[in-house]
Amino acid sequence: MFFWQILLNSLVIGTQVLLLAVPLYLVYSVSKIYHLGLGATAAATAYALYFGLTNDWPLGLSIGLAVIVALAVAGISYWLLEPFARQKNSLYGLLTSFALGLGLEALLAIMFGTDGKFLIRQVLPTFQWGDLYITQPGAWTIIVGVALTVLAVALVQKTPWGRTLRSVAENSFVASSLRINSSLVRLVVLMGASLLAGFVGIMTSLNTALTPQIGFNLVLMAFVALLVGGVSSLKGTVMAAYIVSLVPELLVGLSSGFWDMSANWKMLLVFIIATILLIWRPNGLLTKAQRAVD
Amino acid sequence: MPRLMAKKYYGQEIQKVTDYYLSEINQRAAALGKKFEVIYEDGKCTGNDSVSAFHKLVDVDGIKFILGGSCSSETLGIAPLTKDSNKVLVISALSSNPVINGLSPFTYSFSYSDDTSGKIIAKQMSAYKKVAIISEQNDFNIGIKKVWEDALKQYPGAQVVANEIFPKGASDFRVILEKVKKAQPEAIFLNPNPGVTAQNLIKQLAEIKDWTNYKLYSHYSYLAEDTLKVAPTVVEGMIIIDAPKLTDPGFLSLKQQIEATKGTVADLGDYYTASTMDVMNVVTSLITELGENPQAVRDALATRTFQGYIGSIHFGNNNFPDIAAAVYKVINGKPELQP
Repeated sequence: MFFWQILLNSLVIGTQVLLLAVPLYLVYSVSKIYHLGLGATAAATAYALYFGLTNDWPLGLSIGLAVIVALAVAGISYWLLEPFARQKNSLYGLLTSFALGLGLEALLAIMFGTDGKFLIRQVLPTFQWGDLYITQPGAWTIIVGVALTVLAVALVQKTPWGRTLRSVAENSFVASSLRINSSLVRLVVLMGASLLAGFVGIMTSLNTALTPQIGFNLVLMAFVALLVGGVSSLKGTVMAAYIVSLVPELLVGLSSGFWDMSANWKMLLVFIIATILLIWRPNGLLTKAQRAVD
Repeated sequence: MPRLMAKKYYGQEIQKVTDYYLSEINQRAAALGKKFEVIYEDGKCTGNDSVSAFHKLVDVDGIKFILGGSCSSETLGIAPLTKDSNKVLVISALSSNPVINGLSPFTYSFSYSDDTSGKIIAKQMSAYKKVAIISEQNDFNIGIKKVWEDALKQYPGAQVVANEIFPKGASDFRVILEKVKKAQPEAIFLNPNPGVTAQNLIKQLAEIKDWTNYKLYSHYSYLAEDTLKVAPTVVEGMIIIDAPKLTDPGFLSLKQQIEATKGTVADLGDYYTASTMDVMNVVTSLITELGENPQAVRDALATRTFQGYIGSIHFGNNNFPDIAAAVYKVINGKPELQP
């Protein structure tokens, strides 16, 4: 029973990482930019909801404000990153996205303070099965997270919209010659990615507490998952998101005696696992090695 | 012209107290033609950031008196920088890590030392055979953890069955709580920083509904009633070790005025609200008397006895004042002083 409880708790964290890894993958696909600012987007969206709720706005209006903030951050991200996407300048894109994230976090700290906030102050309601339990926000994170991920995979691989996205990912110049508006595709993807990030920001805050840095560790893990999973494979990213988050959680949770590991080991374990996987499968977990072109 | 270095964690509450009390100090100082000014720098409760803030204050602004750090990590970071110099005096209102004692002749703290509270918690928990501790990774919590572990060695009947540490500012404790639950301790020492981390820890402890056969122990982090309200059933009966309750009506009225005008200082609590004002009072009085001379102010601080809101303040050969600890028990959601 102990193992299953640890697994259940770890699954919530794994799904949080997954929900940031998927948008990170989508943005990278169409722009070749690692949009690390998505972590701060998650935090900004959650703070918007917090602002509405603490000012006694109705829940619907508070959620509306959160959606507006997520889309506004998407708009700012598009404005900042689009020139680098067009120039295929991934490094400057990454740096700009990272700076945007730091700036947003600093702005949130100035506006709301650095001390944590609760979206729900009371003890969280739980679902109970015998000795096993899970918080309701945790359960919804898993259910909605898995559903959204399946939807994203289906959209990308099985629909005309997915083909459009993949054509832009493959070669945006050729896509343009087929009258596909690559910039519009990137804008739409950024908006979807910000909404997904916002969702995970809110669910993580509900399950724990809200701080300006809440998205930072998650986006770092999601970034590792994207690299380990293979930047061109959504299924690989999904698998890697669970591997890099579940394995350290399980190792820490199940360790004991001489091998006992504290929670401080988690990030070290993440990078050890990532290193092993990257050495074993340098192109990604599910990506076939490509023949080198002379 | 003393300037304060503080901010994050309790820094925002310290700022409320300082802003309010500075006007009182300046009203008295105006009669002597003086005016004190406070400038804030954020040490972010880390050694690195506090050293940067220290250099900015001392090397750029030419500051001679620093009221800080606002947590042990900050004070431990900057204390070595004052050791071989008589140009800067550092006085903290909150730092309690016992390592501060003897670290530098120019670094003092008006807090009680965790040496006292850690030992009392260990003694209280020695009544149990299986005990556990959950600590946050920062200098305050690791300092008191070490004292607790050393003190517990004197009681061979008490065995530490779980000793968990989580990263500073972490917010998801469910996995480590399950580990501690599996070890079946009879008593648990909760050792996080005050504020949301402390609240989150008991909140997540309360989620585990089939685990109730343990006794909780802690320190200052769980003294605020706001924190206890988060999970009232779990904290009922918790034993908290902290400084003696402050009953000075003058102080209690002043604290009420601060909270009415500046907002809550619940996480700072009575003792540290009082010690923040006492540090300001003592330092500005000594500067008024002795001039902006860190050596002279330091010598007076080390040898004289002062009366403050926290009681009689005397350092002797130590860097902490001689403040006793008291035992509180949470009854009906409130920490009640025990005889």
